[in-house]
Amino acid sequence: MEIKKVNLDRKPITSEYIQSKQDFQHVVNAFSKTKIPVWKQPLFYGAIGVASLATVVTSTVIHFNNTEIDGKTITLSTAKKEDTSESMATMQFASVESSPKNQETKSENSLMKSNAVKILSINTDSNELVRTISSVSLTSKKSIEDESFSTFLPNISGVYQGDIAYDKLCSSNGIEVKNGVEVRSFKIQYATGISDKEVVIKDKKLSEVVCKDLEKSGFNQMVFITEIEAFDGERKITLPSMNFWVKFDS
Amino acid sequence: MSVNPMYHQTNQHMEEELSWIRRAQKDPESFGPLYKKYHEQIFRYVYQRMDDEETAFDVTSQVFLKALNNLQRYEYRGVPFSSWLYRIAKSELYQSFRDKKAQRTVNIDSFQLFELIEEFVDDEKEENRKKLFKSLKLMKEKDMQLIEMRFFEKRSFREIGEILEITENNAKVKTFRAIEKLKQLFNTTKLSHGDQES
Repeated sequence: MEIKKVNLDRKPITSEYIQSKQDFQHVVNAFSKTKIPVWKQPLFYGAIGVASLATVVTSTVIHFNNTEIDGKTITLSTAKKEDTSESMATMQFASVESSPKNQETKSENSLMKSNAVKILSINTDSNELVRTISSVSLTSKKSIEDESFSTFLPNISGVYQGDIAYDKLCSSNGIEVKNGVEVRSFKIQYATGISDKEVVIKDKKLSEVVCKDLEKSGFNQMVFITEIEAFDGERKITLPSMNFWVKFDS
Repeated sequence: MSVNPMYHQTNQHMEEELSWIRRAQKDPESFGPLYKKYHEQIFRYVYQRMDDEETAFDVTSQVFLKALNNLQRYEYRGVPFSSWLYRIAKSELYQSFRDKKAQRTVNIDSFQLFELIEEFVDDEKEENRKKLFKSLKLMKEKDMQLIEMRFFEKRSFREIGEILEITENNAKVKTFRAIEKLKQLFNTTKLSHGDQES
């Protein structure tokens, strides 16, 4: 910055004069004018965004929890973790009680060996199955092939998640659910070698095109089956998503 | 050399000031005592560096408005609140120069001039005075502000350091170098015929 001028002995200004020029109210007024309204601040939109997201998630969870499957109430009373190198968590269904509708009393003890799904809590009331699947982990590839647990989970050839042979995937009866729940459509995501492909299938079976694509790619890959829509009698329900590690070499 | 008595405060004063700041962070109206305390200091700092009085008052108001706007972000670092205000003032001042609202001016009185000439030569002749005027105009801004603060405003090195966000020792060294540069300019400056006459 260039110094333009040098003044010698400029007339001094007294403190009284400077004080007479003080105008704090002017500063406060200018401050209130420059203050950004709350609704114009980025923080406001952030809070609104988070609240909306929370609302959507909550309503989705409530909708999901209210889905009645099979008219049964399942009580998970104990959850044991088995320390095995292959499985991450093993949950035990202690009792399966029937709803008043069919008044059957069954008691099943079935071990659900899952390396991919951790069911942390299952609450019940007399008519509804309320489930909370809190986290899904894809760290291990062990298949879940125990049929006894598949009361409410979709499966292909008894496999809900993990490794599945290509032949099993493509030549089975498609997505099956126990107790008369019928799958009508689903979305499948897979890689074709060049890019990812997403196909909506209006059937419970994988289409020939998809199977050919998978066969053509010829490599073991992860396939995601989502938005599985099914009918339980007259009632439309959405089933949990499935992930498969499709194997050609088994 | 005297120091600015307003700057150096006791711990009790600093604590009182901090309580004003905390209150003002919640309610802008509570900024009043701080405004009253520092308005004159900041005005003098601004006016020292420009020619126009009205512009200096405007810039001073702008400094306090900016302080109020940024008060939520103020963090107490054990130095007087004024050093924060001076930094805002410096930035507003340079903004006014860039916007051409004001002209960078060095204001000096005869006694200060005499003190400064004494640093370089023994006699205070009219010729030396003119040479010093010319040399001051040739100074770079960063050196000029150190000379202004130390020689014209009589600030301590500690205060200079806090305003410029450098250490006290660094302020000393930089001021010494600035004086050396001014001395060099003073010794090499030749007065033209026009300078001799003015």
